[in-house]
Amino acid sequence: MRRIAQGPGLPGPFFIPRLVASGCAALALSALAAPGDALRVELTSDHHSDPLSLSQFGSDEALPLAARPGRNLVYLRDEARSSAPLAGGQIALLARQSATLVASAGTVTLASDLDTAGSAASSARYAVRLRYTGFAGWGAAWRTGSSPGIDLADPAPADSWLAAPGWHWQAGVQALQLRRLTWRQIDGQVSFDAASSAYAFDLQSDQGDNRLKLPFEQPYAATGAAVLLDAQLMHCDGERCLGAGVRDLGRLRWRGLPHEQATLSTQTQAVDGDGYLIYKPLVQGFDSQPDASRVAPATVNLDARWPLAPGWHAALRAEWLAAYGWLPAARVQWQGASGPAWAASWQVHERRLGLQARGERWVLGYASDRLGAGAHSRELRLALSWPLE
Amino acid sequence: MKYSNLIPAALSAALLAACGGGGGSDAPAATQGSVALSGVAAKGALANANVDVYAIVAGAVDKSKAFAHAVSDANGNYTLPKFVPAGGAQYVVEVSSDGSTTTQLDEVTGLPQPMPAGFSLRALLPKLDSTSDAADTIHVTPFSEMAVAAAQKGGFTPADVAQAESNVEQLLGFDPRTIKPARIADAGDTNAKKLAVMLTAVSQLAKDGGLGCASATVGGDRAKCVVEALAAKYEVGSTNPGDATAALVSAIDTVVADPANAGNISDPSTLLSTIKGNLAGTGTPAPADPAPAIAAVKALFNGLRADIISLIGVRSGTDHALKAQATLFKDTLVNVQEPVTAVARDADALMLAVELYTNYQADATQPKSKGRRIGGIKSNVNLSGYTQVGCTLYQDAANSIAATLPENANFIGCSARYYANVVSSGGVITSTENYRHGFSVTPNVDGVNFAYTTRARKTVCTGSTIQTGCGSGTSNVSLSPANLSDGTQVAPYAGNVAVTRTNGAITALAFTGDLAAQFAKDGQGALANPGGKSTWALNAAVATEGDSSTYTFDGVVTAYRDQGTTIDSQLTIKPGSTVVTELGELRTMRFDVVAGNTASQFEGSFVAADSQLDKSGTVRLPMDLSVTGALRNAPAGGSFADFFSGTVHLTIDPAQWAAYDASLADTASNQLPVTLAVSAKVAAPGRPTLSLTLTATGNTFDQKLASFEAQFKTLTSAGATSRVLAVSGSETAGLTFNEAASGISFKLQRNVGVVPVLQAGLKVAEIDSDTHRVNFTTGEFVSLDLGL
Repeated sequence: MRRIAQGPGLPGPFFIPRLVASGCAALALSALAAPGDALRVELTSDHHSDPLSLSQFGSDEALPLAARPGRNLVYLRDEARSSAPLAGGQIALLARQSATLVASAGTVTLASDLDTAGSAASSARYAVRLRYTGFAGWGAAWRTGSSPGIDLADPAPADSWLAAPGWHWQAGVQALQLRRLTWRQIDGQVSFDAASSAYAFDLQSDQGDNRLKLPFEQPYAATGAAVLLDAQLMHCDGERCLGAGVRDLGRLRWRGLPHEQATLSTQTQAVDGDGYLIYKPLVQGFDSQPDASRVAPATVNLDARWPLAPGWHAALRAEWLAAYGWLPAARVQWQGASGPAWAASWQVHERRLGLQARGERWVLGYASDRLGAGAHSRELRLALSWPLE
Repeated sequence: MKYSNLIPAALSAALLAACGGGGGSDAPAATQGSVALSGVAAKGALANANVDVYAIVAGAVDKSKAFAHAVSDANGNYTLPKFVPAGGAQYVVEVSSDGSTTTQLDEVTGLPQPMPAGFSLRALLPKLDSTSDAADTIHVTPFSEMAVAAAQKGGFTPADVAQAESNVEQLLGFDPRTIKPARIADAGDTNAKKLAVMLTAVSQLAKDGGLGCASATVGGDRAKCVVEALAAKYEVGSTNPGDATAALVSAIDTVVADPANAGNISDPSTLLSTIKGNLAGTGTPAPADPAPAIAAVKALFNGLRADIISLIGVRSGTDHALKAQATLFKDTLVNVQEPVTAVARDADALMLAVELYTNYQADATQPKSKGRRIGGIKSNVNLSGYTQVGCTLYQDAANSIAATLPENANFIGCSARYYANVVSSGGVITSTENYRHGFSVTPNVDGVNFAYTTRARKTVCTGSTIQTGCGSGTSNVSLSPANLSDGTQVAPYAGNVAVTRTNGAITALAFTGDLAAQFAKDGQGALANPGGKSTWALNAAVATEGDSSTYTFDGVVTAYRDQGTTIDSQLTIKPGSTVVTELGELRTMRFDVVAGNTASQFEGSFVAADSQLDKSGTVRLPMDLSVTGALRNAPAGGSFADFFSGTVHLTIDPAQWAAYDASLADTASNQLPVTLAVSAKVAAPGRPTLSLTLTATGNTFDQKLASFEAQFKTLTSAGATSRVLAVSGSETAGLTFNEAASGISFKLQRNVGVVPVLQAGLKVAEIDSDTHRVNFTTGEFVSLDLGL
């Protein structure tokens, strides 16, 4: 569980050089920009974990996992992006890593029981279901549309969004060279019988990982590739807007990626062809190195925005995350006649409060469910822009 | 290979045959096939070379008949005319120099090089028969020649052909017959690049005069020499070309490092990494068709797992066959009366009675009261100074008036003591509760028989000191037989001791009759079967000759849960059970016994033989200890079935024992080798019988397994042997496992994490001790969990 929850790994040494390269490249691209355009650099770090505080990630100690009822969500999204306008759109270089883990409450409880106490206090049944996908890489992105910088949270001038009366759209594509790709699925049932102090397992596991070491391993590609699409569509009636969008729609590919399928079953007794009792192995599986192609963990969002009072707006967003479901959020923002715009947000599942300030050339945001080392959810966002002459 | 063309051809033939088409006869007409072959012949590209197809006949290439012939073009391309494969199942295509016009385009120099007469390269064709109708592309190179040469050494058996083809593919990562040879600069995909580098490496070897080819002065002769050397060193037992491996690796490195190739090899560090890794390995090949071998390995480990789990039964949550039998055996016998201790103590008390009476009658100065066997009485306090048995001579049958003279010593009162509960109050002892078998013995006038009556009693002795015997005025309750509910005492149990004397000395005793219910082992005075009793019919005799005494025993002791119908446990000592002592020290011992009850039983022999003194002369041990016999259970109403039978033998070399000083601490120079030998059959319900022979030698100092030899045979219900696993080795050298039926072998060693599993020398799998998995060459894996 700990290894799974660690995500695809922190950015690592490649991340910062890529970021610097990204900025330099964007500066170079800016030479092609039209007057009035801006070079923009954004840093986003969005981490959340239901069963474990963020500070405990990577610990070698037994982890005090606390399952939420239903599905438990862990995600990690880090991105550094530098962008510049180009030919009616935004060209960007970016480095990003993303990891999403969805686990049933039974999975988390089982991991906790196995990790901390060694066994449950009383007889128990665990319904195990885990979905984990993580990737990291860098690449280029292109975004265009009637409103390339569209964000319902941004108080962008309405007339810049117009494509047709009331309608606004945006579409983008990013091509990434992946340095890390990992996924794992575990399904099945586990039970613990307190009388015999024994676990009974019936689990299936499927995992792929470019760091997985296989016996009889063949050479495989050092990097993978991903092409991911995003799109937004919005309709506004005055200051009232409704929209929908999708992000990270695409596939993650890696040639010859180490892949392992395994089953763990404690129902090992069987009868052989001669009618004798035998005990099958507890674990059976198959290693392979296929050309992996995985659906990226896409998200779909629905948005609504309306005015509350002069200078005040409210917004609602519901984000649908594959394998998990809907993640609702609410936001109130205020824009005075001058000075920065302020916004406060509440993300329901993450239980975190966010504050954001936006100036003419900067954005600063922070959100967390609590202060200190016990935080389970935290987001940092920083964006700076420089006008291009 | 393009085998797909064979399928429609076969289907067409079948349809034609079924419809009666293709001829006017009623009999199905055989359809004559034809095979068209083309490809590239290359050492470097071989121009103007003869290309012929020959059949393998009687284990050799039959060059008396060429089924097809062509000459390669300037680039090594050849196209053979269609031919009918009517010479057998296996064919080769051979490319040979005509000795005059044939050249190769040398990869290193880039120049054409005349090839001498006698130079040839071959490639194996897929199996063909007279109906084969196929068009195939077969490229002929030194690597296809290596496969032919390896298969040829075994006479082109189908197994060798398959393995030789597979070995080359395992080495290169591809079948060289399917990759079109080209120069490095012209090679297309990754495998073509690899083949180009390998072909260039062969040229490099020739250029450098490698593999003993330096004496050839002409380039073509050197190339011929190198190709033949590689082929000669290639065998079906390895993927590597024998002692040519290192030279080939060196040549690869030279080619890759050549600046002339730099622009044509984009990633030299990874392009050849697999091939170089293979060449750096042991060369142990995987089987050409791994499925049967993998199935055999899986079956072996499944069988081992089942045997071990059945034998040891440590996997939790399941009821293991042999463990269940052992548990049943234990449960059946652990809670029953263990008759030996009680019977031995009761017999000791009665023998003391006989001795006390006899001695006092012979000599009035002898004691009239005596105890022996100090210590060993269980108690809530330390009673190490008290005797287990004691007797006193009395005048009256009630054992109330002590004898004063031999003439009035008419009766003997004895106790066999089992438990004492010392009662204290405020730190002061107030009484002692003694749990004992009390005997009242009446010597017969014949001087031979001693009749006894006996009860299990709780006798309470008051006083501030611990008392294991006390006079009147104390509580003396009969526990067995128990008094009636109204307090009336029931008649005691009775029996007799018959004494045989020779020259005045007791030489035999015969015990018969009943004994009171026995005290439970840890019952703190409670009876094991309060309503039960024991019976015995035991004989013991001694014959003395010089310093040597031989004791013989036989008889039956039975503990009942009631008054004589329900057996709780029974010990039968068979005639022939003997103990031989010399000057009071044990020399040999043999007990043939049957112990158990109607549900579980042990029948066998305990033997200790050849007792000798150590170097110090102070410690005597038998050099040969063994237990032979069978453990068996019987279902309710059923008959007994053995679940374990055999012999466990512990031996010490007398010479080693004589050189060993047991009175000193063990050191490297003072240690004793001990050999354990086991020969047994284990049968568990649902499992085949396992026959086990094992010999292990260790020593008392480092306690390491110096040598280990074992053989596990799995026997079918018909008695045939289905698996024979031999294990041999030592703790330091590791243990080698060989299974005879499947030919599977592996060797486990300390600190060796990955162990190859071989079948007939071919690697089928690896045992990874870190992950506890068996990883098969096909990618399959299973956990090793053997229940250990």
